[in-house]
Amino acid sequence: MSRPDRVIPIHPAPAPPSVVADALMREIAAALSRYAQDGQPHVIDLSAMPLSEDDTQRLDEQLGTGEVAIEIRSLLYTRVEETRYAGVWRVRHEDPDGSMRGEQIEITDIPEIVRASAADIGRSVQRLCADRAEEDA
Amino acid sequence: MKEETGDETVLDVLERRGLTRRAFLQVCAAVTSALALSPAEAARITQVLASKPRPTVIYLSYQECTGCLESLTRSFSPGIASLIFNDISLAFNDTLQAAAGEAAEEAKDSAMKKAWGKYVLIVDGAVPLAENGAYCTVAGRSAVSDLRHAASGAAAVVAVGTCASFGGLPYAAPNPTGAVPVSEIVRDRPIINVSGCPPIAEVITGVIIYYTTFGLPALDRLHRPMSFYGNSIHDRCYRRPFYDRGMFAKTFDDEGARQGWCLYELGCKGPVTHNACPTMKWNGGTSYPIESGHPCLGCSEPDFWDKGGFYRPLSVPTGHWSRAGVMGAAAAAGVVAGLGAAVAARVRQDRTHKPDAGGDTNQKTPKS
Repeated sequence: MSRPDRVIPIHPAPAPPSVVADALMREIAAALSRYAQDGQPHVIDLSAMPLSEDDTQRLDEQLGTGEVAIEIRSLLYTRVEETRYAGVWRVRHEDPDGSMRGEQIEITDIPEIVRASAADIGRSVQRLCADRAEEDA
Repeated sequence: MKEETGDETVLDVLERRGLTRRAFLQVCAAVTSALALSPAEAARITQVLASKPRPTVIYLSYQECTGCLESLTRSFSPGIASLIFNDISLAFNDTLQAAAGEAAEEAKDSAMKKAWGKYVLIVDGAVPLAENGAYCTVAGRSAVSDLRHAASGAAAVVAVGTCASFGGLPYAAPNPTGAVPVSEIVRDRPIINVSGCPPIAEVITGVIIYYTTFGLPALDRLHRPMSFYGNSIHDRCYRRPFYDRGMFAKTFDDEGARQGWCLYELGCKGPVTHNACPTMKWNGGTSYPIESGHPCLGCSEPDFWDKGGFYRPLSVPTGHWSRAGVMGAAAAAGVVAGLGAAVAARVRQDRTHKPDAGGDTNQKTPKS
């Protein structure tokens, strides 16, 4: 039974103020200049940050998009995007159903997850040789 | 549930399934996010998950309602964070497994034997001691003897839910079954209490994954992980500014309730309750009870059932005294307002209840 006149509106929780985006940009700038000097990569995990919607929007605006975008279809769906600053990457991991499973900002030349690992290449060698042998037989 | 293998790591399991190192890095990233790890821990997680043998988890249920397991399995992040738990580590759970009867008991024994001394034992529910433990038996064996046996082969015990942690509802007065928490029976193993009725799903998986990756987390005096139970609900409540200004809802339908003021006078146990509800929230981060307009019941604290009524205001605002040193003048004024409010609310309650009954306002019902 619906009684619209009886509905008690609940005051929504106020959005947290937008202060994290600026702090993050400063951290990114410091990490990038460190990387330029001594090649030390840096990862910032965004899921541990209390980002408001406003923060996310400002971060998107300030980082922008660069020249490279990579899709990784493995256990999860990962999208690696260069920002407008070379050496600053955004890495987003999603479930097959589209829900976010983690987001990082990486300061490096190429994020680790993009590289083919030595172990995987080793297994590929075996697989490729086996496939060739099968075809030759 | 896991396949039978020796000291495999999480990386080994993924490789055996034909997945690449990229999948492994995705798991690491998802775990880092799910646990909100510190930068130092996040830097270590890849190495830990690649080198440390994956844990075996055995989940036993005693005097409980299965609400904790419901919370866990209805988790809104069933994907990757629980992959380590469900697919890779969970060796035995009597409620989730297909096997029944003797086959189930055999599965339990063999899972324990294989990882004897090394597995993580999760216990859900209190353990009754009255009548030689006859109030809870599984396969002809009392819960207390089953738990003693299982714990003697465990590396650590995780008590999931308030029943296992502190006795919970079975322990509530008059406790006819002689129920006790796990810590009363297991005394020679590390115990992590993950309290709550039920605990937040992400907290359950988070604690288990943290333990199996990094070992024992920092615990509070009630053996709860500080990372999830370090703050009181009150400390992190978005309605706290109303408390500090002395603005309280007096009934569930007054102007204060509509405006989202503090629920302290309606019996909120937030000041004395430690849990992650205000930050992690429920149902996939949707909200938590106070956000829905209901006071905190204090379900993650010992004896929450016997604290004199969910809607009776706390007699003294105790939760934040330890923080008094860092509180500003405005907040200090709020403490005084809070004290006054408690007295006022109690007077009002007594006024509304006394005329007809005159007795204990808590337990009397209009019928009696």
